[in-house]
Amino acid sequence: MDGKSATVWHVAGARVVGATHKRADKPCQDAIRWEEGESFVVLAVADGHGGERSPHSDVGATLAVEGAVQFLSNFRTRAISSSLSALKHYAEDQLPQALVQDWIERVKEKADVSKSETRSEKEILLQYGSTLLAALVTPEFLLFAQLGDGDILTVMDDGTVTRLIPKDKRLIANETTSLCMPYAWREMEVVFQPVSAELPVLILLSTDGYANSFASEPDFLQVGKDYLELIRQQGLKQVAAHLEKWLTEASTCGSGDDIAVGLIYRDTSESKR
Amino acid sequence: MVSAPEQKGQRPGGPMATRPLHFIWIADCSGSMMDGKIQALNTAIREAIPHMRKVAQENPNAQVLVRAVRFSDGAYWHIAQPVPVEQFEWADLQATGATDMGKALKLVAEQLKVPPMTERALPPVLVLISDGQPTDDFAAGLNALLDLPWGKKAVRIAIAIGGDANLEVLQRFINNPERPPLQANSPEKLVSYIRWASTAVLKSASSPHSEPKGASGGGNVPIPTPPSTPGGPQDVW
Repeated sequence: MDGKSATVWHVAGARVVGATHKRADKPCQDAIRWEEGESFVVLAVADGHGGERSPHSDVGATLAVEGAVQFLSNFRTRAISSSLSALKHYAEDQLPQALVQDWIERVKEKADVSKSETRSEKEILLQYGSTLLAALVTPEFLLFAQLGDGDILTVMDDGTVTRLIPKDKRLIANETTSLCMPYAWREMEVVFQPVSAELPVLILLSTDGYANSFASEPDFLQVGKDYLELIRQQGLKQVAAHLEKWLTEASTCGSGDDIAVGLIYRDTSESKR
Repeated sequence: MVSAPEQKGQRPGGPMATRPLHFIWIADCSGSMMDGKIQALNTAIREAIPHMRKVAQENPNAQVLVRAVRFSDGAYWHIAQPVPVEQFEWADLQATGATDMGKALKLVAEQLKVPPMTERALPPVLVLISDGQPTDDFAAGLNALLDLPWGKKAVRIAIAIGGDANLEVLQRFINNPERPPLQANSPEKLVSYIRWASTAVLKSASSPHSEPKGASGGGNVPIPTPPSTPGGPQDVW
């Protein structure tokens, strides 16, 4: 475990208002949050649906990332005394429902459902509808969760890029699975990876506005290798300083959609004190 | 040595592109369209083009690509290659023969497979215009279309020209009981509906906002309200 405990993970990220929303003077409906703890990092991005039926989805996305970061941070604390097999079982069987329920409770509190006489809970949740992508990285395990469109990429030391959760072929034409759907947890994909010999050196989480801005799938996957190269040359802080500019350029030249991107980088040159 | 990201101005990733939005006219060119209807249709589409361009300019992140299918005795691509709307010119249709609507839908279905469609495309818009009864296997064509993911997700608009149009098959094409076919009984109404389909509907389809899966019964693009054109003495078809 010595080699693993020497590993330090750092996070950076940004979100930008999409070109289409700028023209329409609408707010950014993507959200991003992260936390760097003593022995873990957690990162979440979310994409509020927008449109007339989801007028509060910017708030819904914010609640999704706030809830996920807090929930996974607490999960990490509780996980310290648990076995990996127990954690894996919980992550795959119960975590999706817990994360979705956490979001529902936050939305109901925000919308003050008790005062709503005219709207059903289903209608209220739709108004706040959002996707959610989250990652929890610890010395013992990596945990990823995805509900809805968007991308989680891992990049290995040699630059090999892998889409961790395969694209859901049902999701075309701007249609997505969502936190606001009935039985939404059934749609959440979870990947639990005990730390083994080879760890990714970079993890990227992005909302779908990013991948949709590239001409093809290989053109998008290229970002994994490029970010790794840039971070190694310039450092994560320098890359983070350019992130908003690059994402704005991507939205302007590409999808026009809001974009949120988070990067988790494994820095092997440092060690925890 | 200069690395790959540095060579291209550091921005990570490969080339970028706006999202394609395929707009396809599916036009009835059967013999019954001869009595002024085909000319009215040619005029209506031609008049709509500048308005389509304006909508496309207002959303430069959607690359609007237009083409057209004609059907009579068989079905053929009238404009086969997807043409950027900025360069799109309408070539007049001629009317003759039967109403092979099913073959037209099969032709469109071939182009909605992946490939040639891409997963990152915006929902295509299909506008079916007819004044009559299908003379071929309509159901086979419709099934071929609706069996495809992009066929299901396409925004399907149907315009009936005159009182002899088969509204039932047009309704099956739309596949949403809440949106009946538009009834154009005069050249003015045809112009109005063609304009609406090529502007308001196009604008709605080019929005990047998401929809939760299954939240809307009839497709995930909100269809704007069609123009109100009450019937009256001006009805000529």
